[in-house]
Amino acid sequence: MEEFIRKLTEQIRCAKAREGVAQEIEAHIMDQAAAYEKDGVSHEEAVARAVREMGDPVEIGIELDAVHRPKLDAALLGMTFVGSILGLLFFRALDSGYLFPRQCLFTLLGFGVVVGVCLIDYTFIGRWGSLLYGAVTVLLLVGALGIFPQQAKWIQGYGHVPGMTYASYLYVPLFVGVLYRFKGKGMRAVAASVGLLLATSFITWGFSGRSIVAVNLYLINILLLLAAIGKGWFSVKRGRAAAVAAAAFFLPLVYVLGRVFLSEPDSYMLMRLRAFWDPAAYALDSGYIYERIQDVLRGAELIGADAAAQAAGGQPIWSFYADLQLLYIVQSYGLIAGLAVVAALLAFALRAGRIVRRQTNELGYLLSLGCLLVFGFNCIEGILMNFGWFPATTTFLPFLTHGGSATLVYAVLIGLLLSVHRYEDVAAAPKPFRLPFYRQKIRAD
Amino acid sequence: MAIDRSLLSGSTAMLLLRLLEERDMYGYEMIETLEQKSQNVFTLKAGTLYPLLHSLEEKGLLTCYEREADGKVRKYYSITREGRKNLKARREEWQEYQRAVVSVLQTAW
Repeated sequence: MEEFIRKLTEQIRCAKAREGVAQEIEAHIMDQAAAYEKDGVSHEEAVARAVREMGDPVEIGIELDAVHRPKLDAALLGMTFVGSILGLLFFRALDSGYLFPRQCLFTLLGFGVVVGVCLIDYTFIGRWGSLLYGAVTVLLLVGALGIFPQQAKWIQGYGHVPGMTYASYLYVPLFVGVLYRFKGKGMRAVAASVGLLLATSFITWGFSGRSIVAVNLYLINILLLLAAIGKGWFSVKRGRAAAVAAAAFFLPLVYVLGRVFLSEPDSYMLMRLRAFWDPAAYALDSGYIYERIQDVLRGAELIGADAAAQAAGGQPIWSFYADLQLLYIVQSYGLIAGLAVVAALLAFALRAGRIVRRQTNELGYLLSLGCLLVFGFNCIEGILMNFGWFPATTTFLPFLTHGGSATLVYAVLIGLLLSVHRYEDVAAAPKPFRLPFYRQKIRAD
Repeated sequence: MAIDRSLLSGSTAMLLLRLLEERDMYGYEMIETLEQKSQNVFTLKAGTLYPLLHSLEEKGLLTCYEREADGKVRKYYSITREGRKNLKARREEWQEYQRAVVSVLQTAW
């Protein structure tokens, strides 16, 4: 039988697919042999006969090889390429100064990261999930306290680690890895996941100094936890687990709202929110930006630049607020150009959603869903903010937001999506990585 | 009973989808069930079954998951919504074909 399986799997060029196929074929042979044994045939004879029944191992192997091929989502990769180039051209129109060569370098580096991550089998996240999560967090802590001692004040709520705003979103795939390690571990694992996602938001809030990042991460991770519960990862009653997750959703909300409205009615954050609802009342500080957004939208042409504003020597909207790239496109190229960008982002999201929907591998599903959610949350908030329907905050749009961390974080997320698609017919369920002493403990049981 | 293979091969996918429409099964179970239901007319070879199952899965007509049964971990297949749609189309096609064959055979010349 070993000989048969060896010959069969040797035909499959993709090494990662072999293990799954071998397991399935072996189970089949053993079932068939058991049936023969029931008819009174000896064990050896039964196995030999079952193997003969299978047919030619080389022929089967070649047929299976044709199915199990790593795949490339050329459309998504193509969109990434075109989007990056257009983003670069846009940035050149915006700022052709010394920042432009730097952005070229990051875009190039980003391509490398997309291709590199795509080629790595994504299941390493399932295998190394907890360890990666822990290692990244320790590195951040050491980095924040050691390398940037002046930033260490984050514990009191000041300052932040450079680049951390966008990099925080890389916690999403890591969180999926941890969830995967909690498979089959019951309600305690659900509770631990809730604790972890609270901690993740707290940590990233501290490191990035951006409440929106913490809130987004919190919502994305809750949705991922609910998806994992829905998929039956924890082997518990789904209703009960969902109730715990829902409680986790509301408790911090009550805490934050209570703190903001009761104890700090004059806080800066609250003032900025009030300015969003009533810009005119705060026209001299936080409300100013909303009034400028409305100006741009009122003056915008369907096609082409807002000539009246240009003639009046008005400042481009981008110089007031760097995250208003989309609105700047509306201001300088017209409303249709802005809507075209929104449509392109939507097309990108739909293509990514197609990868998520097609996943039968559970880890692949959750991981691609996580990447899509990061993309979706930032795009929706970003687009709304650009049109004045969302408080001015830090969001990042793929290909439009410039800078090293934004470009590279999106490169990692897109690379992960491509990797999930690439290995969807190939990857077997990853075996969790265990620390050596952990394994010994299990053996002792 | 010997049956021309070409008649069987095109419709095997349809038969498998039909089996999985009832409940989720693993490979060996499908061969056995098919044999029973067809009164031993269809004896599907494992060498035909697994490449076919894997390609149906790749096309998104089936999904699979691992579950323990009788102390063994088995790979179960289950039909997707797409698979049900595909089965419906294949079934209609087959019935049209069957009606045409029967009507030709029964025509008195």
